[in-house]
Amino acid sequence: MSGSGEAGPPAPGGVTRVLGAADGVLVRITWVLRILSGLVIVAMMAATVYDVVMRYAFAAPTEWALILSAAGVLAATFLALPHLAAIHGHIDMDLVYRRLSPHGQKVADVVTGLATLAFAAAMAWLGYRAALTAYVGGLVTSGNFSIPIWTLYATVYIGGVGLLLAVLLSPWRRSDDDQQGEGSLNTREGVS
Amino acid sequence: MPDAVVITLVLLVLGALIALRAPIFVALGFSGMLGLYLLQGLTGLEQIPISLVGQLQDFALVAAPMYILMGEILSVSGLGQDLFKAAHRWLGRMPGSLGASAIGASTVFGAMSGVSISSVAVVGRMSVPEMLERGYKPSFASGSVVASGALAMLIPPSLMFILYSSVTGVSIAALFAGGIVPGLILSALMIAYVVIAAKLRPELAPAPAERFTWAMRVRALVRVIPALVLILLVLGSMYTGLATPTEAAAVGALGAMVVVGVFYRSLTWANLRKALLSTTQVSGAVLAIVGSAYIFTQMLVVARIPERITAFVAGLDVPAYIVMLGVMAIMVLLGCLVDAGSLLLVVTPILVPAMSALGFDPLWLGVLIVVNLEMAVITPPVGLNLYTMKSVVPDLDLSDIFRGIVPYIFIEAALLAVMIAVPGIATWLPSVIA
Repeated sequence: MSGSGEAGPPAPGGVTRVLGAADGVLVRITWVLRILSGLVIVAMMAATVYDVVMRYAFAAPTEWALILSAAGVLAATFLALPHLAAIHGHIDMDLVYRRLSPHGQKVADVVTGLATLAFAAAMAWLGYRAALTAYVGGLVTSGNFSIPIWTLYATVYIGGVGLLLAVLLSPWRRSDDDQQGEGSLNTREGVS
Repeated sequence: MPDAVVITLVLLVLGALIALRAPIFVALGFSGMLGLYLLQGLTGLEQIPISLVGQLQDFALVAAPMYILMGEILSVSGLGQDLFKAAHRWLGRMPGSLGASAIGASTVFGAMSGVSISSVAVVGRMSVPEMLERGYKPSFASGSVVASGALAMLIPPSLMFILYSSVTGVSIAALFAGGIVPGLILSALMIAYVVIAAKLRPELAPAPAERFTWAMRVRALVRVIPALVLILLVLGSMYTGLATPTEAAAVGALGAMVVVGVFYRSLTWANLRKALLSTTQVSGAVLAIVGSAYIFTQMLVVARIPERITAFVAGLDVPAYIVMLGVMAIMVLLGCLVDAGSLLLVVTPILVPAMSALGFDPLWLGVLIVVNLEMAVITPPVGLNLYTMKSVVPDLDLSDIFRGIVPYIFIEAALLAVMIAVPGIATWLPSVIA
């Protein structure tokens, strides 16, 4: 009687499958953003070293290296933010959480998910508004070399949207997507 | 709603979110956002993007990912093993030599990386198994690595000092200089403890059997010379005025690539990828907290909390040094519960104005705070170095790791007390270099 088989776990429904696939795509996009974050850091290093060399070797310091590197910190942070959220790579403390019952942990996950959603939505919406205002007003940074201010706020918007989507789709995340990148440090509870 | 009620509510929300395992940057950002809304309505929320951009678009903070990149590149090169080997060849004849060597290696690695868990992972991975193989007690073996890993926070380049500078505006170069003497004293005290304990209780660390020739010592030293030159290059360029700390960090990161690629021949794509991934993870996680902590701080400023605390502390009818001792004691307790970097970013904007009003030097206070936070990363239940040790040597029992750290907590507490009594330990070198 055993023949054709015991029923395995129920196949995921259509909506679940679609949301799972959407999350897979999102995690890959956020991964690309994190790689970009790494490249921004390398570019910051190159620009700063170039500036030092130009200043001492050719007495011709650049005007752009300092400003672009400072903007690079902002970009590197918000480009990495969504993927770190998707893989639980941000710093958190599980001192109390690990003592909760499984039900308590689920409640805690919902509460922290809602708080993250609210903060991400505020980052995205307010970042968008600030970027739009700066764009319409044609605002640029001060100094001889200036960059449009809307680009700075746009990074906040990108980070906020990425974080929002990473949290919204997290219930459909596959466990193999929910992994830290190879060779990465475990930042849970800090990196100090 | 009265300000006091808002602040109480916000602090409760912050504590609850941290306890429920929300990412710290979310806990700070959400509670700061809630406070701004309750204090100023929708207008207050406009400060969120302004705070994030204003705080993170800071040239001084460029140093953070640069030093992290430098440390990560060096840590994938196998340099940790060479450092440990060199230290062991030179310290091999003293009691507890492997423990002392691990501390020596961590001290040098701390001068290349500002992140303590990197140090514990890199030095602990090969030194602790070797100590266990030679019959060292697990608690004695792990304690030396867990505690000395924290030296990376104090010995420049230090991520903690960069964060402190970004909040207070105190010069990074002066803070780095302020950390050198206490860092070296702490390292020497830790080595002294290991040697004395091994001498008095040989069962903790059996005497080494092998002897090293001078040729072996010199060969081991030559192997780490490129990395030592890199340290001199970074610190030297900073203190001779050739480069700012941020520029020195960028030169150091590029120098690390050259050292690892040319001298150690290990700058493979796989290693570069690994180092970059770790760099984005560490810097992204820390800088997200820097940004959201500033939102929280702005909320406190709107409620005039730093001003009120400063007025309260200045009005206290007790000697200023008692206040300082009380503050340090509270920070030790908070450090047992909260990540060191997050704690620094939240308490510094409140503490610095208050302690400055009492006449304390912000530079000295910064060094004291970092020594204090060194205890935070080695103190259960959330001391990160303890769990890093467990993750790199899974055979170790956590209770052994916890037991092994106790003597070092006393050593660090003693140093903190001495530094409060003798501020020159932290302020002398910056004054000479300036």
